[in-house]
Parts: sequence; structure tokens; C-alpha cells
Amino acid sequence: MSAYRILASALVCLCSAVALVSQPASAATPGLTLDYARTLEQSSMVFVPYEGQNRGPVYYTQYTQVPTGTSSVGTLRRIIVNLRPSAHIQELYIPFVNQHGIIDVSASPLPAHGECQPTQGIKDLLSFMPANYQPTILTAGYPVACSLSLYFPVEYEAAVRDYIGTRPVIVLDATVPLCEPTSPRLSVNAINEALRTAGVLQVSQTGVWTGNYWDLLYESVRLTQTRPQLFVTQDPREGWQVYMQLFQLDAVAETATMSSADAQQSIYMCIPKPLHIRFGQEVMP
Amino acid sequence: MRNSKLSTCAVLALLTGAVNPAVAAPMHPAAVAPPGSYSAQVLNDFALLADSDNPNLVYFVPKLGNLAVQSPQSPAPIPRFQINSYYPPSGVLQGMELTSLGGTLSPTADLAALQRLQTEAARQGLQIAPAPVKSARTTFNLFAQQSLTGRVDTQCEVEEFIITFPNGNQVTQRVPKCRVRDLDGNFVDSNVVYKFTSVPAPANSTANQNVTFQAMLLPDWTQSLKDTMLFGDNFDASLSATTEWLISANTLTRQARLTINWQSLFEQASAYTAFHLNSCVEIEISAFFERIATCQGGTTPCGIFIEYRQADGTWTDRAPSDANFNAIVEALKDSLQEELFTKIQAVNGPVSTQPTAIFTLRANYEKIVTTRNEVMSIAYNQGPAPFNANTALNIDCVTGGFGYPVMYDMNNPACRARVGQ
Repeated sequence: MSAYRILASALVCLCSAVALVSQPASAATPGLTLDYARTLEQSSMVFVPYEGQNRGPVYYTQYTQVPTGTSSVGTLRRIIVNLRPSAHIQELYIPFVNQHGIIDVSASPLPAHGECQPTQGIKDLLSFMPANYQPTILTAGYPVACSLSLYFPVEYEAAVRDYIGTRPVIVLDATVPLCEPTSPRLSVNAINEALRTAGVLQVSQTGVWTGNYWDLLYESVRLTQTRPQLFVTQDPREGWQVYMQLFQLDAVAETATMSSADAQQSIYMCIPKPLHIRFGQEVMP
Repeated sequence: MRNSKLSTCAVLALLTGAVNPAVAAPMHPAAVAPPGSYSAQVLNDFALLADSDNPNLVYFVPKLGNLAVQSPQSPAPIPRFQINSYYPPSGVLQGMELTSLGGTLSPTADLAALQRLQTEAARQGLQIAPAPVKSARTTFNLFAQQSLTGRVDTQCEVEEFIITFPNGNQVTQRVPKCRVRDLDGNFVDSNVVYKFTSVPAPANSTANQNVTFQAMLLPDWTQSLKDTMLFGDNFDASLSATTEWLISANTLTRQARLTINWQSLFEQASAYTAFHLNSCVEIEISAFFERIATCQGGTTPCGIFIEYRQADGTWTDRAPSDANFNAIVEALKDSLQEELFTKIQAVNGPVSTQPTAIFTLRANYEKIVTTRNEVMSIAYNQGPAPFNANTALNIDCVTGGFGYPVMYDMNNPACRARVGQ
């Protein structure tokens, strides 16, 4: 890690921060952040709570296709195939949430993180149906990830049921971006204290940190070299960038200010651990 | 005697108490932030607004609502929801299984979220109240296909078509084809709704009004809804509603400081009226004040220099926003028009039928001979600004139906938490 790269990125960061300051200060929308350290994984269920709460999304790694009963629409018949989490069908979900007191926020991985398609096999089977009655993916909610609508003439009911019973009719491919539970946390306060010792930052009674930004820039970059462990990431530049973004810069007074709320943060430096959710992948011959 | 004095006091107190809420109104969040600080979860669940008069009052608009639940503290709360099969005895849909469902959606059904807001507000010495709303519009979304408001009636007829099987055999199919009028009044195909009615949230009320609906759905969806009720899934994919609340929010009355060089200002006014043959109409007078409000360069060329008071107590010559700028032009006109111009209006009999008046320059020697700059303060207000907040209403935490009673799902901790248990 060469020092000039850090300085170059420092300048980029500084310029963007100054640009931010010149805009009218808008109330930041506090988002709910996930607490990866408390991730729970149990029989194909993955629960990640929000910081300081027992609420959060539950994701599933295994799904099962479950057809509904047959509806009669005139002389046509209709079945909807739901892609339901296996944990719900095996009745593992309710014991799991009750055991850990989980408040499930009912977050579906779709459509944000992936998509569903009918398989080529089921499309071929019902290819003779008119356009309005072709196999169609329906929007689904939670816990059903997606649904497939199938219309067919009464003569085909047995064939369609057989097909659903033996082969997948839906292809699901989703990737939820999650982080390793062991992702290190950047302690903002530890860096602030180190810089206070260096005489760069001062803290007010209300916990607001201020200092001259040229001094802050120089000393914080020096800190990435002398005590890189404070910035927790492999490349200390990443942690440093996240840390510097917490300052509000005043270009006229040449001061940098960090709010007390930001100073108390300990920020996840995410080691990506995406959750792959797959169903019905057809084997390519 | 003493009693009557007491009761007079009580009546007075009651009167003042009754008068205040009529004046008090929510403040636009861009003008005044709601008092207190709240957890991320509360800010995620509610839109909060400050009150114009009472610094200890917070108005809320729930962002999420659910089915209304009665007896929430009992071991078996009663959801206001019912779902059943229905077989039409005649007509195009005769003998097919339709679904009839109905219920009441409540914006404050998440009692745990409301309790969290109440606790956090009470800890800071604040009271909470549902925000007063000017109007409300509820839109229903069925199977992501139709946005429905009010009432829907579908027209159905039988459509016939021939299917050719892969082996060459042909069969005739007879399928009900239904059409429904969309929001623009055009007929569109529908395979979802047969009948739909709803009672929307009333206007001029508060943001915690219930919304009641009844629907009958076409046979295509019956089995799917049976599955939903069997597994206790949420209805997000089938039926959800959104209520859009319109809140008339107050904005702050702001202060501006004018530094006026009367001689220079009269020069400007004189040149302007001369150009309009010494008889300006009202709109030209407005244009004059807009011109001097935008004039850059201080008191000597412009005649006037405007400074706006910022929230932090400092003064700036830049208007905070467009709406504020329009308000300041009006305020300028109100305070300076009398000094600069004379209004001439023809009066026909007791009531003037003349819609317009003409303005000419006023010979205001008292001001023209002033050699010093005069400093004046004016107050301006951009008027109430609309603030929109949405409540998404969803159906979940119910099982049963189709011949069985609909039960609230007390097995699921998320559902239990919602009724505060």
C-alpha cells in the first residue's frame, strides 16, 4: 500500500465531501441496518436481525413447489404452482421463530434480488394453449417466492399434475447480498480517541468531534500506516474512507465535524457472503 | 356563588381548550422538524409532524396498516375479515366457485408499533395524536392487475375458442370473459374481480380512519386463495390497499429586512410608471415589485436591498426557496405600494362593478426628501404547503375461512407482537 495512493484518495474524498456540504443540509433518513454478527442459520432458514432488535428478514435456501387444487374456469382448468419455503412445509418455521423470539419482517428476496421463470419443459407441454392462457409467472409475496399460473383443458389435468409431481416447473435464481457474521467492525470512537491523543480532534460536552481538516487528513492518513489495525480492513484505505465520510467539512472555516451519533457507531466492514437461492435449475445436456 | 365562579373558570378553560386545537395545525416537516428523537424503527413505521402551537405534541401518520383486530389482548383476537366460496345460481358464471371476501383495514392495527412510538414520546415528555388530514384516497390493488377505488362492476360473457392438441385433435373451449371499466372509463379484460365495493377513509378527519371493502373474485383465483388461507400466508400478492393522506401543513412565518433608498426607489417607480403612461394596472405593479425584489446591486441602483433571516439567526440576500420568494414579493407589495403609488378606482354607485383599478405615482414628498436609507422589517408566509403521506394496508396473520371461522394467527411471534402480546 503506497502512501501516494492514500493521499490521492484523500483528495478525492475531500472534494466529494466538500461538494456534499455545499448542498442544503437535509435530515438524514435513518435506515435499519442488519446485525450480521447475530445471524442465525438453521435447517435452510437464515435470519439476520436489525441492530438492537429481534426483528429482521428470514431467508430460505430451499424451496418446494406446491400446486393448488384445480379451479374450473368455464371448460378450462387452472392450477397455480407456488414456490413455498421447504421449512414451512416441514413445519420447522414456527418452532424456529418461537424458539428465538424472532419477529419476521416478511421480506421476499424477489423481485429485488432475483427472478423466476417457467421451465422450458412445462412451456413445451402446454405450448398449444392460446397466448392468454400460456404458463405465466405471477407476482408473489411472502413466504411464497413466486407462483406459476397454468391453464389447460380438462383432458390434460392428469398429465399436468404428473409433470408437477415429478419435475420442477419453476426456475428460481436469486442472490441476496449478505455479509459474513465475522465481518470486522470499525470502531469510530477508537480512531477519534487516537486522533485526540495526536492533538488533531477535540470533543465537546455533547460529544461532537471537531478539528482542522488539513491536520485531520494528515494525521488520519499517518494513522493508517502506523496503526492500520484501527481501520480493521485488509487494505486500511477502505476503512479510512468510511471513517472520513462521517465528517462534515466546512470549506470556509477549514474545520471537520462529526456528530455524536456518528462517533458512537461501530460500522460493519462487510466481507461479502451472498446467499444464493436456487430452485429447478435444468441440467444442460 | 363560589361554585358558579368555579364553573365559569371551567367553562373558560374549556373554551380556550376548545379554541386552541382549531388554530393548531401540523407544521410542514421542511419548516419545523418534529420534536424529540426516535429510534430508527419508529421513524421507519411512522411519518411524524410537529404542531404549530404546542411544542410537546407530535402528529403521526402510520406507514403500514393491517386488518383491524378486535379484543387484541385476548388469547384469540378477532380479525375483521371473512372469506368464503360462492356459487352463482345463474348467469355466465353459474356453478363456478367464486370467492367472496370482505374486511376492515386499519392504519393503526400494529399496536406494538404504536406502543413503541407512545413509549418513546412519553419518555421525552411528548404527547402523540393522529395527524389531521384534509383528504384521503384509498386505492386497492388486486393481483397486481387493477387499481380500484370505490365500486367496480364487471360484465362477463362466454368466449369460445378451439384448441388443437399436439396429436391433431381439436376441442372447443367455453370460458367466461369478463371486462371491467378502468379508472379512465375504458373497458379492460379482467380475470380477477367480479364485484368490488369499498368505503374509503373520510376527508377532513385524522390519519387513523378505517377502510372497509368487499370483493367477489372470479373462479381463476379461488384455489390460490384457499392455499393462502390454509398456510396463513400474507395477501400481499393478492390484495393490498394504499391510503394517500393529504395534510395541509403550516409553514413558518419568516422575517425579512429591507434597506430602502427612497430617492432611488422613486426614480425607479417614476421611470416604470412613465413607461406605462402613468397608469399602471395591478399586474404591472406586481411586476414592478418582482423586478425590484430580484434587482442585484444594493440600494443605490435598485432602491431596495432585501435580506432574509435564516433559521440560525443570520441574514442572507438569497431567498430560501421559490415559494418564499413569491411570498416576499406579495409582502413587499403590501408594505410599499401605499407609499409609492396612488390607486384610482372608479366607483359606480354604492357597489363598484369595476374589476380593475389603475395606479399612478404618488407625490410622497415626505419619503422623497429622506436622504438616509430607511430600514424596515416585514413578515411573510408562503401559506400552507401540502404534505402527502401514505399508509400501505396489508392483509396477513389470518388462517381459516372457506366454511371455517377466520382466526388470528397467534402461533407466529410477528403476529402476536402486532397485537401487543
